[in-house]
Amino acid sequence: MIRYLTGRFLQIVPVLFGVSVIVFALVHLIPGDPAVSMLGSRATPELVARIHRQFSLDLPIWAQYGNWVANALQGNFGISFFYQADVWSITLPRVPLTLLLIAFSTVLALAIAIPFATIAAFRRGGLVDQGVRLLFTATLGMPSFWLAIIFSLVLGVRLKLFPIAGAGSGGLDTIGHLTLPALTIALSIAPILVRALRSSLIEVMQSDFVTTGRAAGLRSRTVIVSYVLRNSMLPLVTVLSVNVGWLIGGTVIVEQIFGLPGVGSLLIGSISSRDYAIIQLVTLVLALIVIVVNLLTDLAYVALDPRVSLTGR
Amino acid sequence: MTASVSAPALPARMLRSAWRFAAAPGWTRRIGLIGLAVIVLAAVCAPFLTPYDPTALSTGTGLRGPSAAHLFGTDQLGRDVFARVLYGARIDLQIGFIGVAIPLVAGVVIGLIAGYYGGVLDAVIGRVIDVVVAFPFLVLVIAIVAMLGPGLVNFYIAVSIVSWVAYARIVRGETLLAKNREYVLSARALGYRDARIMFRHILPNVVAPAFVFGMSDFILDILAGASLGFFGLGVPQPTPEWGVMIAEGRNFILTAPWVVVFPGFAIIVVGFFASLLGDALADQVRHIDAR
Repeated sequence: MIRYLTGRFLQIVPVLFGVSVIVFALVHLIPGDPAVSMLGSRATPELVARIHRQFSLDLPIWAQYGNWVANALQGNFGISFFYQADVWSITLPRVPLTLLLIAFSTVLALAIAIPFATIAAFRRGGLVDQGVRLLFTATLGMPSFWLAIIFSLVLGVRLKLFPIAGAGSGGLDTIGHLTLPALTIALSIAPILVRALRSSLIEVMQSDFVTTGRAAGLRSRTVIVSYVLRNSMLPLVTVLSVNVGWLIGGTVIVEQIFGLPGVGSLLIGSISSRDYAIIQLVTLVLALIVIVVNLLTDLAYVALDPRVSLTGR
Repeated sequence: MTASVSAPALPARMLRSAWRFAAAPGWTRRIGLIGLAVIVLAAVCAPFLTPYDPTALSTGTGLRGPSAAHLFGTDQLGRDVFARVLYGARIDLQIGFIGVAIPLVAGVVIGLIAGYYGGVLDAVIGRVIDVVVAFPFLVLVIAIVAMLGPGLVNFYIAVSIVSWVAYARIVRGETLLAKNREYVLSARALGYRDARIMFRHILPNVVAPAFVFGMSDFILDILAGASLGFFGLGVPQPTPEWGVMIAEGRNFILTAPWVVVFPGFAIIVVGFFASLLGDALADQVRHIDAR
């Protein structure tokens, strides 16, 4: 167990190194001089020199990377010329809202996927099963930005069910404001969850312990809830963890459309203002979220299923 | 699949498999194939299907609802929405095809080499894959395009940098299994060069799962490309592209929802058919494996 955990933590080190290299390298994709491209018409020799210093552009590349990492470890990711402030202090306060949106979307996605997948699995091959399949095949290709607009038009403006802009004033109000954005993201990931859960339900239903439970005369609800559903949830956790990057991509789009002040809208907004340091930091933060979620999933697995650490995955 | 040392050339084999796949029964593959074929055909034959120029402005006829003259209505500049959706298919389908083709070829070759040679090379490639998959796909694509500048070519560059890892990971795993099978061992015993063993013997047996993933990646790329278009990072105006059209129509959603609704339907319909076809392909590959 201890050995498994240590190993799992050590696996992260090279990934973190690689992630930092890619985020650092982003600035070098900018054609021409990043300083000039960043400043545009405001470019003066002094400002250009200042940006060269900020990104250490005059040093050899390995020294640039070294400086960047050393600064990053102290929370120093540079200054935004657009906001006239420290990039870290702009980005950090926006992280909680994005995390809340990801969590809320996950809950809604499960609330949609579990009943549909269960019905489909129990009516396997029937009309309902086919219907569920077609429905979620259609939602698979639904662009989040389009769905967000349609939702705000129909559920927000016409039916006035939910607010469609901003993050609200905390508590229930914020949940209300996040409902449509979260629903948009949830619908984009639901097809993947429905599919995974349906097949794992079918597999579990055919296993011996379910047959035994049935033969022992247990009520069918007991068999379904505490035998079948419970044992089908673990694969679902993996699917969610693998697709957390997809969820995050959804939040980036949806935050922008619903005017939510999270890191996703910060990323999109920083593109037109050429705030490269912010784009770097947001990319880093979102990659770190993926890494942490995957780590937590693995740990949850060890806690839920003792076989995992014994078989030495 | 029988293993023969004198395997026919890959293109011929692929054509034959493609035909076998298309001719096989099954309603999902039929609907998927026919649906996608109709859309591709409509995109190619766009000038014969609509009398309107997708970029022609006409004053005084803006934001008209769907009618016999304008099937999907007109947008704020009086352009025919049906014509724009039709011509838009050319761009968005291209985004899907190129967005899959480059990463697929690169990923398959890299995965094949990593799996076949193993050792340090494989370890390095494996670590690079671990790193790239740690980034959310769309976020890294957006970040790269933000640096390179907007445009379709830069989008393809970004997708190529990010997506190859998925294909490499799949093919690497398959190659690890395949390289100890008898047909590879016998090809080795005959003294064939590594390149020949890899591309002539192993490749045809490991590439199918990559194509299966390619079908869902096709949808993913169209969604990503349209999203970038929506945020002004894709094709420049006035080129008709579905994401750009939705972005332009957004300001008139209350009075003229058709400008936004129809390009969205177009993306959903393409995704639907591609997904049916992908399912059928996945089933086929599973059957081959079971044999």
